[in-house]
Amino acid sequence: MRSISKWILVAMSLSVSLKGLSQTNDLTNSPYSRFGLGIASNASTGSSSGLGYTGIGRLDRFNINISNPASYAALLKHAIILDIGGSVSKNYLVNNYIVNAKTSGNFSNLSLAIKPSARFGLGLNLIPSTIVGYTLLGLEGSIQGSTDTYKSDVSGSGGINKLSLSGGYQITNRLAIGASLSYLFGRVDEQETIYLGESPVWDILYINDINYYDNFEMSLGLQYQAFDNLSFGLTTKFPTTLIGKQDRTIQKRVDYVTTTIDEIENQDTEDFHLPLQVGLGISSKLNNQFYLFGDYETKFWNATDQVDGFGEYTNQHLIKLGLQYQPKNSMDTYWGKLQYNMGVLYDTGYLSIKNSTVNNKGVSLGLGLPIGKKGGSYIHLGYQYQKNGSVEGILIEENSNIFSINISLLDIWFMKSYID
Amino acid sequence: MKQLFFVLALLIIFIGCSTDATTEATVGDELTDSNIKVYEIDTFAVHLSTFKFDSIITSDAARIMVGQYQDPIFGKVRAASYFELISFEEPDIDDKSVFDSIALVLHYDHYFYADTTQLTELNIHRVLEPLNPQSDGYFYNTSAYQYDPIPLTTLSFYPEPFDEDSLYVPLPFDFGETISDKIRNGIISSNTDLTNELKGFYLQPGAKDNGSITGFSVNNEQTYLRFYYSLYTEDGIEEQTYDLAINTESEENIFFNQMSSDLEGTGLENLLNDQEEALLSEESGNRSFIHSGIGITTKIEFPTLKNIYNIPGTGTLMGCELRLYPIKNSYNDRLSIEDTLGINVIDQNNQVLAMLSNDNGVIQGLLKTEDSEFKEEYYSIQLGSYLQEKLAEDYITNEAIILVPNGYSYSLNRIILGDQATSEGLKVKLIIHYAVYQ
Repeated sequence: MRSISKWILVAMSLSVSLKGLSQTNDLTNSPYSRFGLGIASNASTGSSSGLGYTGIGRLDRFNINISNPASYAALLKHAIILDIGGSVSKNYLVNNYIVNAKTSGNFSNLSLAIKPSARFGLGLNLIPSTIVGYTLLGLEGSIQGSTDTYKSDVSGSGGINKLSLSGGYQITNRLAIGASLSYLFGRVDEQETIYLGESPVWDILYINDINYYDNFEMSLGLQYQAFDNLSFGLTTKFPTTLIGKQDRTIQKRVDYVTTTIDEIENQDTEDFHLPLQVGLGISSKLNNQFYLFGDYETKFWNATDQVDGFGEYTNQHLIKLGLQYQPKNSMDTYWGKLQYNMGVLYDTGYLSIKNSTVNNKGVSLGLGLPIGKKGGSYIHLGYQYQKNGSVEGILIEENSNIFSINISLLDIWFMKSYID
Repeated sequence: MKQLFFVLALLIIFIGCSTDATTEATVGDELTDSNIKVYEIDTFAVHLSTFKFDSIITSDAARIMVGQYQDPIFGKVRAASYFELISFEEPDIDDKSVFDSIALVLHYDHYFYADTTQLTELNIHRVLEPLNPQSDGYFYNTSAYQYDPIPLTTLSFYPEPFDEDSLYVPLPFDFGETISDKIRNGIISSNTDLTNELKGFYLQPGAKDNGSITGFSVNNEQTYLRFYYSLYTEDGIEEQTYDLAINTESEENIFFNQMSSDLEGTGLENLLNDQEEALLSEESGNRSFIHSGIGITTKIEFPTLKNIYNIPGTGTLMGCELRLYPIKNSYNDRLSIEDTLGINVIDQNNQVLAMLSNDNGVIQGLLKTEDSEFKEEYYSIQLGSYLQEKLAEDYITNEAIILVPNGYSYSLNRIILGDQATSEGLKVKLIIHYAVYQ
């Protein structure tokens, strides 16, 4: 029994508790999650969350880096790595008058990577991609042909998950390429109830939609180590369309009599188009102790030509910076292997409501704690403060405090004696 | 290492136990709209027409009605009443007591219609043939039975339905004594014998009356034919009484009201002769009529309902309200209107099929007052479920609905409604709510 195994047990118990949580909790209460297929999840692997979610240009030997499939080629030879993560989030929704708060916890990722040879790395990764969770009560709707209004309650929950199979291959000493094939799948439940007339004799119309989406997605990446202290990364994710299917139930109550108007299963519903994405990343070793990472990404939402009643899709640009400090890059002392991380993130957003784009800013801090005797395994603790939107006009602002933990367990399983 | 375990354990517990401390999010409700579109439409056609039932059932009435008045629209409106009298208790009269007098005591039940300040004539006639109901077991407002044309008594009075308890009508001594003796001698020893002897009373107004309709109770403890006796004892004179009351005990209650209006000189006389033919509101001054007791009713149709499918998208009918406005000057405290309407479904021959109801019960129209400064009164009927069925009809049935106010068979109130083209007040309208969800 390797000493690492007790950590595997710890990791397993963590994933079980988180899995239980993830069934019951929405990880968000953001009204913005009504748009599209929800808001992007904060899940990530390794030290990424503490480093502003950078990684396109990062070559990490010990931690799984899902930002660029080519980085699987940089992993320690013959390693097998397991990364499990979870996060707890405390969100505040603010508009000009009130503040709502929500606390929730969820599983963030389950990742496995192996490096069978010096050049070839492979990984399997399960991660939430989007999350939906909102409850909005008392929306006012106008009645065509009257000055009266009606009230409506809407709510939604669910999200899209991503299962990826990725591979990276070191072509030359400096250049690695990678590809990733992902299966995106999930469901978004939406309910709407409208109330007509007056209390207590409301006439009610209730619609319950269960929307299922799935399809494959493909991305490519490369990483180039220009110098000892500088490497570049490039990624591209190809556009794909998630095919939508819907189960719909409609009921009404008029004059106190309830009837089911419609119950349809598996009908076609609007597909969701994911855009072309392009990313560029840099990883720079400033000196023996400091690493600087920078990523720039663009997502071409305008080209998807899709519409949503909530707002409009607009091209999205993300800038991320991360700084890592490791006092001693040696295996001698424990504290020497500690990593101190910080990062910033600016996302212009892809949702535009009445010409105001809902943007996203964040700062993060992280701590990488080495564990295990052999080295290469870490517990990554991250804290991120994010601000989404703003209190401007009808917009709302979301302030999130996200605590994340990723346990990355590395072991060497491919020993020469096992290979014929 | 141990510290690390400790920290880790704490973190795991923290994540696992985090509560979902959420309040109902109300932040963000201005951000988005409902996906559903709701329409309110009040331009559908509502067609009103009037017809008169050949006859209506007036058995099981809640009251006796007698009286006559001249109505500007309906002509001479008249109510008369037939009833059988039976004994509800064994006679308990001392052998030595002496018959004094006999009177019919009619208890006011507070119902009245038209002008009670006018002098009214009440005639009480003896019925000459058995009061047997029609073959279907009912009495109708047009039913008639032979009676002695010379009344037992005629009383002129001013009706006091609120100020007085009862109307006391003395009857001839001979008439009373004859019956009393037969009862005391045992010749009349059962109700069958009694009704053979006295087949019943017929109460009718004076032929020239133009006053009001008065209602009397049929309760056997309030309205009765009372025999008065005196018993002379050492202590003085003791009064004893014996009552007969209206037969409400048998399977078919043997009493009913005969109600009519002659419609003479009103312009309606030739137009309401056949139940199957309804008079369109356009042909009667943009009005439609309802008259309880006489059997006049308003029929309502919605010929353009299917136009709702012109609304784009897939939708469903939500609440629908029909508003009917009684013409303002057509009612007042004396000529009052009923505040609750029952609704019946009729077939294309104007025959009643059933009462309108849904899973929740019977549907009624209620008199309401508008919120506006004019405080218009109107009848409000929720027709959402009825119209839903009409829309779902596979083939056109030509069924329609009629309005039948509460007490239709035992009152004489009328309602005059304006149609969609009336200039006499607010127009009838159907307000439909339609929700489009796709």
